[in-house]
Amino acid sequence: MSETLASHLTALKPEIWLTGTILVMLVLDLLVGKRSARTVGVFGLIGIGGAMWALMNQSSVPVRAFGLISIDTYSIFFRALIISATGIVMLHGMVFRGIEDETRAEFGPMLVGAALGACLLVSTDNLIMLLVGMELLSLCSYVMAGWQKKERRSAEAGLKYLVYGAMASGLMLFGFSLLYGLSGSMWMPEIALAVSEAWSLGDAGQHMIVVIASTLVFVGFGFKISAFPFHFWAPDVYEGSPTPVTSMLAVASKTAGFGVLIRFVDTVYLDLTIAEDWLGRFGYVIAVLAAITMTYGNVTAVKQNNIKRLLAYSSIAHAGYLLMGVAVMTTATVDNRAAVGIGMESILFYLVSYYIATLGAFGCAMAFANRFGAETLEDYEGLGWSSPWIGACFIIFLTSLVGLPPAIGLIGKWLLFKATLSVGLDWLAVIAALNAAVALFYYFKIARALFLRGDTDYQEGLASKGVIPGLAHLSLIVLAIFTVYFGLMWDGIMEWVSEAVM
Amino acid sequence: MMLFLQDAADAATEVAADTAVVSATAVDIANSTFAGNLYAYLIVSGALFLLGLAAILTRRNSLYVLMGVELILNSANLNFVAFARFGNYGLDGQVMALFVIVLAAAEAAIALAIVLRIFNDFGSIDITRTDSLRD
Amino acid sequence: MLDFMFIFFASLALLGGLLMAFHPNIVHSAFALVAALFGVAGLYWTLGADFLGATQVLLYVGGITVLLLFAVMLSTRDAARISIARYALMAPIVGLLGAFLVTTGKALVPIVRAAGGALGPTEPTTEKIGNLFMDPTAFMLPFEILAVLLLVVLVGAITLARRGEEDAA
Repeated sequence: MSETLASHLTALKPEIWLTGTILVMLVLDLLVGKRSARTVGVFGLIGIGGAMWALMNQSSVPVRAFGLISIDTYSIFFRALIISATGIVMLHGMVFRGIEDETRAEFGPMLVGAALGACLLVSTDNLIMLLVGMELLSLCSYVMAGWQKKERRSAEAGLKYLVYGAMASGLMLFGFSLLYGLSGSMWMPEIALAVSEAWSLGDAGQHMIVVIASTLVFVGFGFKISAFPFHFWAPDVYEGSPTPVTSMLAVASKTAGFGVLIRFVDTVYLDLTIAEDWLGRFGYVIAVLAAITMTYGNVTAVKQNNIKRLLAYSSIAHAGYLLMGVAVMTTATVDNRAAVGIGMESILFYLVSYYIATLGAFGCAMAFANRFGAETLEDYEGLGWSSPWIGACFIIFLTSLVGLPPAIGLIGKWLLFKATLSVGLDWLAVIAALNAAVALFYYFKIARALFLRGDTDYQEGLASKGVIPGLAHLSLIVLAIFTVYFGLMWDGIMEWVSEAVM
Repeated sequence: MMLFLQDAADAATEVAADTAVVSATAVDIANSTFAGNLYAYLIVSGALFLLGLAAILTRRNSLYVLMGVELILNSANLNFVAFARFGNYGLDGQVMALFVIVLAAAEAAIALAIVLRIFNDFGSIDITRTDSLRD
Repeated sequence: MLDFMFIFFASLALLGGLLMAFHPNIVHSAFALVAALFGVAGLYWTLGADFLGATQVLLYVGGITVLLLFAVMLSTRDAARISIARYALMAPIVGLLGAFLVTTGKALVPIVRAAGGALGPTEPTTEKIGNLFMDPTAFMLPFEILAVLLLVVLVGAITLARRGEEDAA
């Protein structure tokens, strides 16, 4: 008994590191939190580093833990993205001025809690564990979204996120209950068997079960990745939340959402030879949703003035691009099974490029908010000359987001387009290309405000001195270097991604 | 809250022991028209789901929406338990329902905390007009 | 006996749900929700889920609704304005989904019945559920994660709700 428990626990070393980090931070918060929130934060960073180290030492041989978690290269890939993003967000949270020093020490445990939930979410193939992981991520995110005191927008963001999130998970749960009724199991492979049987042998009523359950489940996942028509919370919540929380939502939460969505789609719908008509129709629905999501995000972003709101709409648009990959996976016909792998690879690669650039872009927005209190495009005018380093980094991240050379975003888009064309979704590729042109327009607006508008004189901002703010700025520069470096040599990432897909 | 939950769990065990008298015998079930009928349960859970959805769609007040969500969660839980009983699927359904109840408790605690925050910081108590975030 | 219990609790749940969804006063709605949740707890008992029903009464009826009532009483006191337009929007959506659910239910019942066979007597579940929660191959992990979740969320909720020191003075 204890031996098996130990073997289960060894498979979950990164999660144990994260849990330990939460506990250490809470205890330290009681001891020194009021005086030195940064001490607590530093321990948090060390803990996240430990989790990352434990993760990198996990073998690529698939292991199952607790009968609920499968540790494979796929889950290691996603957890690496989530945990490292959490580390960077933690660093930024330690310097963000919107969070009072009084509550800064308690902010860390929330962040690590969300990361723990996200890690479990992408590793599990059991609906119960999936729900618990997703709720841990969501509940911590609700709290963090409303964290900023004396800021009406933050409290409203917290409440809105909570209400809509509860709604989405309620609908998802109802979908789960139908799947449970159909299959008698919470385990995805068994659900897959029941679903394929109901689809290939059943009558119209049984088809209806599958359609209704899948739709309701997709509400829950679509909410997490902010896909149309479940995107409506994203702009408000992204704008109102403290900026580090926004990057956590845009990067870690969305990555986890895609992680679980792809695993669910892959296990339940693709692992078996489901009747082709079903798969085809399902895939086309996703393709249409992808097209609407990216178009809606990009077109609405054009008229935004608040930077965080603009980036929120851009993040919706990127969810649309990523959904293109899911559409590729699901429209792949039986004689073109290789397309499933190609689609998955392109999503994972795009996630890496999105991760670097979005984390960086929100980090730059935070740095400008910290130094100059800048939030809108007007506030940004000429700021590029006052802090040229951050300004230059911002430009690099925007280049990557729009998909121009030499950034990694270009490679991501290229792979996605190639995958889309390989299954004959030409119209989707055309729409995506048009969207990229629209995106160029509004990303250029930020760049123009930073460097071409306003006076080019140096503006005095609130300078922050010290090791931690220095590290936070350094993290932006490192991310910018990664953006360009991997844009030129993407082989390493490509290798990692194809290993994760296998 | 942790203590509260622990107490609740202890108390639940006691109450469960008391209510064991309502647990049915095979004869009871054979003689019942509704309680031995899955349709009856599905109708109740479906109706609860639709009522919750109606509450969500018709009200602007966030707390109303949350109450509607509670109804939806309960309808899903009822589904889980009913399927587990009638399909002889084991205890997974009940375990899921237990997890959902605890998660809903945590969610309600956060909702109250945010409402308190709005109340403390702004003195304004009307959270139906949450309009400072707009396009 | 079981039928009587079912009818009583089901009508409690449905009437509570109806009142909750359509009563204009939110405080009354919250109390109606209490009735509905209690009805659901009763239905759990008719299904042989004794521990779950008790938990539902203690946590849901006794805990969650109290939290919600607190929030309700702090926020709005006026009756909610109910707009006809929203009802017009809601009715077709709910109706359509209702029709879908009926079809779904009709198809699901034979599947579940076929899997279950004849109904056996119900047995006490408390001990079994407790064992499942402590079994490393069953639900130990989510159970422990739930403990972490409650800890983190409560610290967060307290931090959110706490007044700053300068405000309290």
